[in-house]
Amino acid sequence: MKGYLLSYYFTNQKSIYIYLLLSIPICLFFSFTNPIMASFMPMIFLVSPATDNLKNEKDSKWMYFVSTLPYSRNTYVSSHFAFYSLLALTGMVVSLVINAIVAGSIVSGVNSALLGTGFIALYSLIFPFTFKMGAEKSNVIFMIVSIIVVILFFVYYFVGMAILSGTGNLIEEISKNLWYGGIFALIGLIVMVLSFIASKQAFKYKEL
Amino acid sequence: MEYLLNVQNLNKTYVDSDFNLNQINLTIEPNTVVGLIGKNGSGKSTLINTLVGNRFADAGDIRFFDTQISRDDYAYKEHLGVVFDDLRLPNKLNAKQISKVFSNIYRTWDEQHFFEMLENFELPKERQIKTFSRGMSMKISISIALSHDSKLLILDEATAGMDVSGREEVLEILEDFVDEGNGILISSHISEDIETLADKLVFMKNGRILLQEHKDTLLNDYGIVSFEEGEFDVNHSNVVAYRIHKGTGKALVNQNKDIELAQPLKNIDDATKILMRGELA
Repeated sequence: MKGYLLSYYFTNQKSIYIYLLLSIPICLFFSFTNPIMASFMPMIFLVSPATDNLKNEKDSKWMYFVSTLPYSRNTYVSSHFAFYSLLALTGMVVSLVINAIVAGSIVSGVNSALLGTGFIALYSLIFPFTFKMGAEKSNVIFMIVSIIVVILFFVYYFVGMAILSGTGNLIEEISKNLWYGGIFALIGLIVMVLSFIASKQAFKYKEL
Repeated sequence: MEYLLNVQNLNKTYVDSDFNLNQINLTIEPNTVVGLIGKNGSGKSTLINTLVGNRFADAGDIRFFDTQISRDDYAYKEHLGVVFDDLRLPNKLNAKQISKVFSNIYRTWDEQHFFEMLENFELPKERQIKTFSRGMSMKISISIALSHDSKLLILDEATAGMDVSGREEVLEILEDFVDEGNGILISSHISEDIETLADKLVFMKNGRILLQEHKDTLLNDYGIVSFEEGEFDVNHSNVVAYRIHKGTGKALVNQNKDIELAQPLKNIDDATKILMRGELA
């Protein structure tokens, strides 16, 4: 797996560093204006090289070479998820630190990080769709997954509102309440595990 | 080791196509080069893709290095080098980065040998490989295939796009590789390459093997009979294949010395033309 990860890193190192630098002012901006979303933006920036990576591999035909290497196809799929997770984790740590300092509250930073984790984990649905439908349909896949993620978030948001209504300032309650972000992160992570299983199944016997 | 590759009764069909591989039987022994010959669409690439794991056979046995493999086996690929007719590498990397990647993929990766091959081929080490010409791309692919403990090389049109001196250089390296007890399965449109390298020839058409023969046997014992339509019995037991066009015909015959009219083959193209465009007897 290390070889695959190295190839992803070398292929995307420029955009990783650019997005990492960009994520800092973006996170600062959101930390002041909307702390609850402060993690999501840096994380989505940082994971974009991982999703672009699949498209690159189709273009470079590396995807059609991996079956000739002494690793299983599962390892290849796992490496994509590992790269995606590592980048998401980097974004989360950056935003967690910035948000916690700006908001002066570790709870606010953690809550934002949990929400960001939920979003990014849900976005991992891009992988099974891409392995099944092909990287050439990446734009359609991104739109489909974005719609699914937004719908899931709004359903969750309104359920949260219904539960927290009458407890005072809603945004303030959400920011203080770790359960709100925690449950969303958990839902996202469950979807990510299902994405991982579906991706392995989609690629295991795919004819290349 | 008896066989580097032993394929028995391999079948492969497609849901959305009539094309299929039908009853493919093929063996490659150590110190042997097998040349796959056939027109576009004859099944050479499908066979190669099925052997290397990009596609899956419906039926049949595939044994690499005397061990039967299933679609979930992969450890044996440590000893398999594959070169396709196009660059299939992370193309934003340079050769130094490629070496780092492959040193973490192959347990037996030999970085020194890899860089020596690059120097021999005069390939740059710090230029993105996507900027390489087709010939350069093939050379780096061959360098990778030969920089780990490969015992069998599978080359799908790997010499295409190379200049004459580059091809000669590659063919010499491949000859040295075979002399070390290894084997090669090669498909190429350049019959000269196959004629130079191959010990055994496999002629394919429409997903089937028409003829398998040792190159020396083909060139020494087979012959061509030119005839006017109706003046030669194409059902003669020595006729392998024939083609009749505008009243004249040519037949590929075995045991040419038994047939008075037979002329010896000048090269494998003589046999290829009749096998690919004619009918089997």
